[in-house]
Amino acid sequence: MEGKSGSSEEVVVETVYKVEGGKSIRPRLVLKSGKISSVRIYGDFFFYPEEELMALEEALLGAGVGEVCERVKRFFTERKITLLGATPQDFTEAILKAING
Amino acid sequence: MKAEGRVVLDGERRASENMALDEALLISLKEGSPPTLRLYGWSPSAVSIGYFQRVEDEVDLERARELGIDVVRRITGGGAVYHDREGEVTYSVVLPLDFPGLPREPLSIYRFIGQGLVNAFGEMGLSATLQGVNDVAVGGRKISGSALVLRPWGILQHGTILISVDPDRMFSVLKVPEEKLRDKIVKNVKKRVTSLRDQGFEGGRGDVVDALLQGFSEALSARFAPGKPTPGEMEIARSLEVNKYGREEWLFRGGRR
Repeated sequence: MEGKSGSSEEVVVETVYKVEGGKSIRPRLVLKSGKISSVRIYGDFFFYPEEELMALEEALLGAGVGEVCERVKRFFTERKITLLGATPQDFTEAILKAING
Repeated sequence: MKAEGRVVLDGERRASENMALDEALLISLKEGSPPTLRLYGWSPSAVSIGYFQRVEDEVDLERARELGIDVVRRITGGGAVYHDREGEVTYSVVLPLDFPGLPREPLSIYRFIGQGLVNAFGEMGLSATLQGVNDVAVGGRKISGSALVLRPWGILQHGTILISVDPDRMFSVLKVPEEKLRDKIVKNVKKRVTSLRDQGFEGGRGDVVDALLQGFSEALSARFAPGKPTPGEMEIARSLEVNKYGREEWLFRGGRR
């Protein structure tokens, strides 16, 4: 999808990131001027409690590519999340893969 | 001292009805319904997708419509599963949080309930192992997959036992990440997945159901008495079917967004 020229270039990016052992993480992001303006993280992993995945997506809003790792790390440290079939690092890698192409 | 439960030897239902009834049984634990094992099938054949999946990514909806295959979103995580009407038996188990021996952590719960599946395969003459997070394998090849959801009062775990598998039929409705990889992916699935028939088991659905009942009874140290869903449970299920599982909003990312 093409972005507009000028100061608010909007780009939609997505990718399929395969975790070792078979599960996949599929982030879909809208980037505006290089910052995450919306993000959905799809996939066949298990995430408990389920509502917290929405909270993770919210926590990523406004992040530039250099801030993704820190925000993901902080999110998982501050909350009691059980993630099966992937690790927090996999989430970071998947999002960076989508952003960097 | 064995725990007391109920086993619903259910027939086939539509996809939305199956998911609605599973959730209704989970909710009904709060009202004092017993721990329940339900064994069932899907008619018509169907695809269920995991809670965190995007249906357009996983299912060829046009093709599913042409083939008369139902598509439904689960409340449990995990992947897109093709439920063949003849090719599998599906189980669901709902347990209250204070069920004897039930662990608290999801991974431990998979192991606890998964042991029931391992036992069941043993009853059918096959040596099975727990594999990965939520799979059961024979000879290292996946023969059963499960998915689990936790609520403050109890858990629902459901999964499939493959009687026979037809990867070509499966991938007629399941999407592949890249069309040019289709043949490779189908070939890969044939290597990584097996079924009861593939393993030489010649018994029928009834034999599979018997083995599952036996296997879960042992693993959960419970006595499951045959029973049916109550009128109250069926009413909850019907409401869920109409308001949730049968709705486009739920299927197309309505669930948590």
